[in-house]
Amino acid sequence: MSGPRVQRPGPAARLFAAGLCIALPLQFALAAWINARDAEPWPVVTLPSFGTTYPGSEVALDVPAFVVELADGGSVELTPGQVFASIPRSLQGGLMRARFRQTATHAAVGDNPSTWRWLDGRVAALLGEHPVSIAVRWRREHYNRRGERLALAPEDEQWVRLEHRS
Amino acid sequence: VRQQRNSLRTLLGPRGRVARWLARFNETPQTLACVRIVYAAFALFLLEPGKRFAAVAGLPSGLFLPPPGPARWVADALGLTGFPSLEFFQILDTGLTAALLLLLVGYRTRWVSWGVTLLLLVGSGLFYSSGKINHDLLFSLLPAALAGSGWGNCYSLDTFEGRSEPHRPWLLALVAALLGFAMFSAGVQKLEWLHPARVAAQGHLLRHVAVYGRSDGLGPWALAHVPAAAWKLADIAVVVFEVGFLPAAFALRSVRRWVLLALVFHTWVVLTLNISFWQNYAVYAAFVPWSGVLKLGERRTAWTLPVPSWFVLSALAGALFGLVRYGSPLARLDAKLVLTSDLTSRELLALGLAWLVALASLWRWAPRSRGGEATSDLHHA
Repeated sequence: MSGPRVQRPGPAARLFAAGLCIALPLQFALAAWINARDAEPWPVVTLPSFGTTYPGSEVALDVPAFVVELADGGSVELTPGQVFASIPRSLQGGLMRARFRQTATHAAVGDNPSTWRWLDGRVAALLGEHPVSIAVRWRREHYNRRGERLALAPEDEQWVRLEHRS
Repeated sequence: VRQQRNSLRTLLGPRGRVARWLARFNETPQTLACVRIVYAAFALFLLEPGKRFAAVAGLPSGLFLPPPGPARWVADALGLTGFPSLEFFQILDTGLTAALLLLLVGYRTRWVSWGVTLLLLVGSGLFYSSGKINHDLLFSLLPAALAGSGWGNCYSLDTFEGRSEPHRPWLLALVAALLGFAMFSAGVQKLEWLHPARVAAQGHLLRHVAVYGRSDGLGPWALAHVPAAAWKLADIAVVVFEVGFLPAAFALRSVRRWVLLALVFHTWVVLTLNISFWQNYAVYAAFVPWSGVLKLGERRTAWTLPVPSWFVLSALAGALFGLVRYGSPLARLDAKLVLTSDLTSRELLALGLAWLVALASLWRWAPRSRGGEATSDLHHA
């Protein structure tokens, strides 16, 4: 039994293949340009960069947490993993950075009424009571290269307070 | 003008560089069919992408912001202001599972391949509207890239019903270019890793262990015991491996070697960072010499179906119901082994299977490769 008919790459296929080789670096450069002005575009043919590097002696890591103030004046700390338990962990870190972090140019886009309502319900489900206020605390933790945590300085915290709006 | 024409001919002519590059990817129809079956089985029973997408259905609309690109344009055009409902994702999952089942048995393979890619892109676009993009685009693009390759020409209902596509194994070269460039782009962004005074791989491991709780396996041990010099060597090795993937992508044999290196790389990443990035395994499977590994006959492409095709399609309808309603039977493995990190049993199983295939490939393929490239239909033609 002979195999199916073999079709050699014609002029259009060869041109397409050559065009792809040119288009791939171009889309990558365009994506970097858009990323610098707006946010990471999608779809882009690339793999995770893990481009961050750290100075030699110690590693500083920004760790987010939801700090919830309750009616009795006490406060409870919830990890993003607890609040966003329904989504994969690989998504949680990126979601926190993209939606609950204030930068010099972008407000925390998670600070809006629908998110507040959702978080309110989520806190009530987790703690059994509704919160008075919710804030996201970004704490810069310092570790030595063996993974041991170093002392925390007071200025190592940044707060994003989510407004209670209806 | 004549000189420019000659240069173009050298590049794009029938015997030009591009033609020679494409001709190096000369796999058999049997191997392409195995790629199709492995891809569909991997997606249906291990990855279950349709179920994964539904995780964002319950998120508030305030967190919905599609990434720049087609996802944002479509959302703006349709007036989407929040994540779709769970019902929408269930319909998407049903469509995707149906398309993957049809791809598995090779029914209207060309169109179904495009359908799989389209549905994966729709789901991914919504999934990434939460703000985090997982870079698994190659997994979504693979079926579309090979739709016209004739990967439905063997072991398929299409063959049984007398449908066949021209055999275009050289489309694998385009997949190799996509993979090679994606790896290269990741390596280029890591050039700072080469700086002798900067900590890279070790810092990322620390972040994943300390912040994300990915402390299964060797991560904490590696932080405590691996010396700084070894970490710097690892930084350099990763950059060289990723950047080197691009030149390797221009020949089938070198892609295979780099894919084997990638498996070693992914294994180390699973053992330390507890990140599997298992969508890539399905892309790597496109470069496995399946004909040789499974000892399939070189020239045999006919497949006699022992039951009528309506029976197969009815069985598929049952499988569709089972997979959509209850999920993959392998998903039960995840409950048997719950780790501190988000690594699942299925991801470990996929890694184990990948190693099994890699070792079988080395066993069967190495003696052949010493004698030259595998015999191919393209050479016979």
